[in-house]
Amino acid sequence: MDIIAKERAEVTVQIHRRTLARFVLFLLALLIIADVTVIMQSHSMALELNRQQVNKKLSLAGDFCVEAILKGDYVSVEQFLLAWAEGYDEVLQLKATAANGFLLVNYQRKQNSPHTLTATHQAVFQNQPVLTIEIVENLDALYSAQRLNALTLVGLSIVIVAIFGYLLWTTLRRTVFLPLRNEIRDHQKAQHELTLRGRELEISNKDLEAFCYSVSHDLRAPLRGIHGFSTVLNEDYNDKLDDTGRDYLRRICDGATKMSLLIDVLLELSHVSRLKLIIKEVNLSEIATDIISDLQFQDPERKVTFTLQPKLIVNGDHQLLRVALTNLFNNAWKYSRLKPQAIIIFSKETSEKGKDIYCVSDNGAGFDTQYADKLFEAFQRLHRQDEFEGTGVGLATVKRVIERHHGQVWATSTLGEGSKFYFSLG
Amino acid sequence: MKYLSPLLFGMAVIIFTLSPTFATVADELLLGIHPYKSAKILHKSFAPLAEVISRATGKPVRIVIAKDYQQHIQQVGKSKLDIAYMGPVSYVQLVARYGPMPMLARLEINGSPTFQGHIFARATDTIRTLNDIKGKQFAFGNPASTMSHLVPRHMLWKAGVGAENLAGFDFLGNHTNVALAVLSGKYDAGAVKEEVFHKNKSRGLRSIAVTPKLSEHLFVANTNLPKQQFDIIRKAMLSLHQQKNGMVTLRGIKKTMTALVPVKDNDYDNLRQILKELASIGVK
Repeated sequence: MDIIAKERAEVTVQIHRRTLARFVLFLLALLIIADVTVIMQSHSMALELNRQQVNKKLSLAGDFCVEAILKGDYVSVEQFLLAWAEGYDEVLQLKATAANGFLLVNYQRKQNSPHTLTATHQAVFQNQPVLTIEIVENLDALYSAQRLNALTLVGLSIVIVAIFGYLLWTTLRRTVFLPLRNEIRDHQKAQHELTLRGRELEISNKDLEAFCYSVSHDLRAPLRGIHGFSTVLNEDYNDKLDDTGRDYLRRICDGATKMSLLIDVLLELSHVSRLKLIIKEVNLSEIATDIISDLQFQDPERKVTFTLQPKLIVNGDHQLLRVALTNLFNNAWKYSRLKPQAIIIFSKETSEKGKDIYCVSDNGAGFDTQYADKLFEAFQRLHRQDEFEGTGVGLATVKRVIERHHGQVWATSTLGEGSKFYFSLG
Repeated sequence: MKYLSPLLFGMAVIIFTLSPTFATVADELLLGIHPYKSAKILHKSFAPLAEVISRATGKPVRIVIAKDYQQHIQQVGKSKLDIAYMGPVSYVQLVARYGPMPMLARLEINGSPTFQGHIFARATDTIRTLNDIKGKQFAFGNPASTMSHLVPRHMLWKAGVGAENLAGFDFLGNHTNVALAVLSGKYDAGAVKEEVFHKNKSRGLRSIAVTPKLSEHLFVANTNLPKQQFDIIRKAMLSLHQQKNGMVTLRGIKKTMTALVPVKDNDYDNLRQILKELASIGVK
């Protein structure tokens, strides 16, 4: 039991750990998606800003060039653009083309880059193109900065998630797992105590059963004496007793008979509890058929319709199941005797959970269902002795047999219309 | 008369104040340069030559940059400079105005003491002869420039293409502007010195005509310079390319200079004739 509890605790912790890991991974993925979105937006904005700046620079350069060209000062244009391109490290290439296609400036830096920005500006004067300046800028620095930003952002996200995950795990461990483990430990303790109590109870029950068996067995001899001598007294000294004496003698005989019956059923109950189970395939339909034959043989005058479902086969102890079925059929036989046409049915149903449930039903006197919980207790009777005789031990015996098979037994009834006794086997 | 002396004194003070401070130190030589580049660059370029002259003569040499070409000519003509570096046109004008000057040496560029220029158009254009330039836009460099204005202007005139026969012309300040302006399509033809033409030929220029060979830039001396000093300086200049570090000195003045070589006044006769003819049509 301890091991199972421990395993359950471990499984619970594992499940929580996995859930937390999934959550942290999800959070990380979410943050990285957010990071990527931010980085991409920032990258686009940086590119756009760069493009705007380049266009602005080109526009200013274009204005200067137009002014110089209008004055015929091409050397200034050439020198300015070359100096400008040379001065800006990010300029990889600069071309200035006159309106007639002449390449006035063709600057090419001895450097390449996979990340470039190409911008073109047409300088005009009085709506006539004067000079077209095309520039290729190196965006390596921008990309490097963006890459660094991206790495920083992703790194920060990982660190944040790691710290958050660690804190969450620590908190969970303090607030959930440790109390859970304590609870499990307490539960284990309680289970252990319960087991000890159970064993004590089992021992005590066995002692009680042993006591009950010895008492019942030992009582038989004196009881047989009482009954025997009472019978002899009644037969040999009947004429010497007055009516009152004979009545007393009769009462002694009845009492002894009743006591003998009680001892029998107590012995049977004790037997049922003590018997070592021999589990094998048992055909309940066959047992039921035997019991019914016996009942009909004892009272052939009664009109009873039996309905039996054939081949109701279970795994259990043949002897004990026979005892249980005998008690159930005896009850059905007994409580339906006032019906002119009694009906007794033995059938199998299947529960919602797919479990086999067996039922012995009759159309007899039934019982008040508010006392149904007392029905299976020993010596508890719901009918007066003068209505239906009995010891009040039969259903207790049935319950003991079914419980020994790890099953359940219960009953439903409608007063005056009959009862249904259900049982399942574990 | 009473006021004459103070007046003359005042004028002398004003003239003295306004005049450039030349030859104020008796024992130094003045090397005058015409302002074809910035004063700072010229000082740097000519400092090694000044050092050579100084070593040869044993006198300190001071570099003087004129305010403009005309002032330079005037300073040389009025013997305010001991040695002067000047262009061919300036020399011709100097002699015409002030008479013959003692000539020290002229430049030899890539082995030649003469230089040429080109009248050109775009290689893709239909202009093939000077006559084709009629009715076209023409680009000159500086109005005083030998190869980007004066000589080509004379050639055009000789070919029957006067200013009136052109659709228009402009002075763009320097040779490279002329080449680039023609290449850019703003002008149909232009004129530049040989060096600039060859530098830009591969970009799409075609030569229409070549100018006559003209004598290179030269160094002249003050007429009052003692003959002994003149000879020492001349000798130092003409042997400079053979001296240790001489080529560095020469190339400091012009990268393509290979030597300073002897020069005679009649080396400039063809230019003199061109300028004379140009003057007759009002181009100076």
